[in-house]
Amino acid sequence: MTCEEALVLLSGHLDHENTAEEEAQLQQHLAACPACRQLLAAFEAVDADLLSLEEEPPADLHANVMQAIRQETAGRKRRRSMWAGLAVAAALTVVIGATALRSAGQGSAASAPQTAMLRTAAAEEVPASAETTLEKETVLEEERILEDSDLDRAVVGGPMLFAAAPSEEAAPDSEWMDCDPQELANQRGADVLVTGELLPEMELCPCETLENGALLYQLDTSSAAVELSRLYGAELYQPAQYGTEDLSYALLLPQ
Amino acid sequence: MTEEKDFIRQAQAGDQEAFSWLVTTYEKPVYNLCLRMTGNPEDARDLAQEAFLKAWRGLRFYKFEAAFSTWLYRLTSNVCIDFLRQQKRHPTVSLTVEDDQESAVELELADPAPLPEEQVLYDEQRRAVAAAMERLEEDFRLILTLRVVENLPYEEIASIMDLKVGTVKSRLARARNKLKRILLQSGNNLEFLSSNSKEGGMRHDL
Ligand SMILES: [Zn+2]
Repeated sequence: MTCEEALVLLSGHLDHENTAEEEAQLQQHLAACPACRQLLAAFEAVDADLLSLEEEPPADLHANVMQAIRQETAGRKRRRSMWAGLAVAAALTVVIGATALRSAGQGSAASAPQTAMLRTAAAEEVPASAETTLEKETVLEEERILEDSDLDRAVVGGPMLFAAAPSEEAAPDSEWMDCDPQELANQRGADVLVTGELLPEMELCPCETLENGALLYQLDTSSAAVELSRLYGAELYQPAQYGTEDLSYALLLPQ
Repeated sequence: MTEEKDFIRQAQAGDQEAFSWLVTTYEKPVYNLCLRMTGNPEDARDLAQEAFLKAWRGLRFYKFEAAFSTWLYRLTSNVCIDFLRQQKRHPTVSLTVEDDQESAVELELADPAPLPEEQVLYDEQRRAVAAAMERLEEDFRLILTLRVVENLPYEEIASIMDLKVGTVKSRLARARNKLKRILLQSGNNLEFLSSNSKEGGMRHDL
């Protein structure tokens, strides 16, 4: 056995990973080779010193980790409810705007059906000049709903009202054809990860085929794309504004 | 281990207390991996925290196929390697250089103190090994830390680093050899090292 061959077995010896046969060969070589005996002694010493460098983790590491997790979890909920709040506020603006328009046209009080929709006690007697008050009161009501963390109700209410309004954001299916990931992220209001291969984490996720043949996988939380992006060094696109749902996407582009 | 699986499942369902148990169990190995990869306690603390955060976020991707420790070590080493590459891409004039040197200097002395003079020499030696580790290639640093500090078998190192077991064996030999060469080059007396070694078996007498 050469000294070079012995080198690997020296290392294996220290790690208790040699087979009995390898160990016998090594001992035979060591008996005849002072240089390798010296090398083994040096390896043992370096290993021992390396091990002696082991330290206790900082006392506050554990608490800091748990605090960060609590904050992140709270932050995600807050982000979601904030967006729900925005959606409701926008929807209300549409309704109030319609009310104002109608009031202005008829020169009379707000119409009953629309105010009833808002379920504001004072609504039936609101004069044309009192939109501001109406808005304030309804927003207060919605805030109370959000405080009750009845998010579902608030979120469900949002899109319904949106649908009634003429929206500029409703149409752009055609843009998905280009598969601009940034555009896609904005459309979906969620992070979009771009990948050229099917990652194991995507395998069980719901998938849709876009018009250009690209596959869009729906990841089950909003942080999933961020995590995958870090794990695989894949590019991540973040939307101008996040949507209400706790999910993100992985975009599999044909190569 | 079944206990650990229970905690993992609870944590996957969002139970922070269960995750807290996992942090307690793994904070020392995770921190020490970060410490040896970066060479300084400040970065190690940040990266260990980042690793646990990412573990929390990505926990649902853990499917019990490998050991949880394997999954966590792999995630942690990715965090460290990302960090080191980022540092290389954007080398900054660090304001904490002084801190780094200080922290590298002050090694904790946990063992019952030997004679002061010996202690000084011993600390110097440990500093030299720590510094030599920093000059080692990332892959060598990682594999040596996983083996010597974390005390993992070749099999587990192989799955953490995506290598064959045979490659782990030969790469560890090369890593040890390189580390020894760096120590010799920087003027370290390895004979002194060996006199401090706890292993008695293979001492050379020259
Ligand atoms: Zn030899």
